[in-house]
Amino acid sequence: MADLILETEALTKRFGGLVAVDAVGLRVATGEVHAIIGPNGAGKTTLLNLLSGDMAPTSGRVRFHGNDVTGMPAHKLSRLGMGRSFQRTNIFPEFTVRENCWLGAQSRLPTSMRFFGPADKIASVAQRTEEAMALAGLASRAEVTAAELSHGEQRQLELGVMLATDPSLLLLDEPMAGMSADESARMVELLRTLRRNHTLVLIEHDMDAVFAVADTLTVMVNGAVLASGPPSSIRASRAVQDAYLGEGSAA
Amino acid sequence: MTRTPRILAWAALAAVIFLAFLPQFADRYYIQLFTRIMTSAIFAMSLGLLVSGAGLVSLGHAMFFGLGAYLLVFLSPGDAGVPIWWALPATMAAAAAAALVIGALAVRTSGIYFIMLTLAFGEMLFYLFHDSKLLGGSDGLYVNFRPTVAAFGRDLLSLDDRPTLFYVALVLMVATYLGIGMLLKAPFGRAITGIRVNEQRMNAVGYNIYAYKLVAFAIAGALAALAGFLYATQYRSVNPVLFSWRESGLVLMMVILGGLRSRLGPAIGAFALVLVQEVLQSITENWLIAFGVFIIAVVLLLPNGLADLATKLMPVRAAKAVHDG
Repeated sequence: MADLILETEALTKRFGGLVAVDAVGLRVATGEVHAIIGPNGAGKTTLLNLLSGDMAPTSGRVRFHGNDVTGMPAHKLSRLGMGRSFQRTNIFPEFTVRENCWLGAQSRLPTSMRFFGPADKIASVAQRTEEAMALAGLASRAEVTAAELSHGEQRQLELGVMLATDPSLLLLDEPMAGMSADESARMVELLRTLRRNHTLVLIEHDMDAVFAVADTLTVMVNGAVLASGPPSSIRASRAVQDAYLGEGSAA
Repeated sequence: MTRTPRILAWAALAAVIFLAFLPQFADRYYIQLFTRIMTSAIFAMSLGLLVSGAGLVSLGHAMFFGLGAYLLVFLSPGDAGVPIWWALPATMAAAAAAALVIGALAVRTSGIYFIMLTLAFGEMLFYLFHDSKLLGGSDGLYVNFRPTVAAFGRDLLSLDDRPTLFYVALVLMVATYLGIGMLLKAPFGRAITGIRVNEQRMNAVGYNIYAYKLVAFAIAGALAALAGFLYATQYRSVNPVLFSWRESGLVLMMVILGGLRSRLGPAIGAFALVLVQEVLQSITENWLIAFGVFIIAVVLLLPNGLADLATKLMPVRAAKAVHDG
């Protein structure tokens, strides 16, 4: 059995009477690309929030690298190697691309409670910043203010900030959201590059992209897992076709 | 990550040089006035660190100014001046400790709730000092002797001498400015500016935002106490009004009028506010009306504060900006 980097056990989140995430058992193998798909309102983003520590679960467990991390705050999980990107671009609009990535990179210092000496003289942070910008395809845009980037570039920067934290697991919430066909194609290339050194969990609506990069698909409907397995078996599943993929996508 | 236009940097340097020579030609009224303004500038810069740095708008910042002033009274023996070498660091440390306690509750909130909590804490301290006979009550207390500046048993400076105190304030003001600049360029400053711009993302990439805000609050509290200490040294009397929300509001106004986007903003605001007040008071008894007009005009015409005046007046040259962290 493959080594599991992330595993959940009956993970549940209730908002009052609504069960947004219902007893989800997710198993993510180290090195795989694991896509979570499902109709709007299926609880995908809430699940990601539970994994990243942005929300605490009502019940259930989360194990990361074999350790129980249930209820751990996001900033601690980040330091353990969990990287998270957001569906709605979540960057520092008034800072340049380099300053954005810098903040990700600087977070890997043992502490940023350092009051003396300019930050830009710290070589390890500067190096990680440059690497993240290059990986995200933004090296030539380093001095541009984030607010002035195109939508596609902002999505790249969204990943760049996360990559600068040198994470082992990437939780990506709709990395292609709102992208043109060209931009999506470039993002698929980027995801292929990233999978060489990272494990990826991604939520995505672009089915072409999902089938192009994912090793495992988990289908969620109404907060619960409907099916999970390799793309071929998900594509063939009657239940999944009925619930989600619909006639158009079931080739 | 703010940029000071070159013209503004030169203007600031010229202002410091002007101040350095001021005691040579100005009479004692102006020496006292500018000592007070420089004290206010330190106070405003400490709040600027919170507001423009960490994005924490406090309406209770005068409590640390008041604490600094009162601590000088409490640390001074009745019959002699207290050595500044330990009294000033002790005052700043005590204010930082108080800020850690108050901040532990306050920085859990943000926006309007942070404003409300800091306002409430400030008023609590005001009434504590106002109503407690032991702490001086509504009349306040006196500093019988100013702090001593001595080394190896010899007095180096006498703070009773007005020009000397003026120069001490000038040095402390410039040191505060440079110190805050260093802080903002250091990893800590990068972290708090990131938190101001996008708290959620900073949390997601691994910063404990609560801890950074709390430390920023403590540093700002210590610097406000430095200003309060200087105030009590100059006037040798303290009273509960120093804690009042009016004082907190006034210093916030200095920060906003000066400009939130410039590191020089708070100091510019302090000078402008006090000087405009002085001029108007000398012209008319109803100076508060004119003062209100001045404030409205600045807010409407210079949304980025008085610091923006330089850029507005010299748009071409100001386009060349120097990076100042």
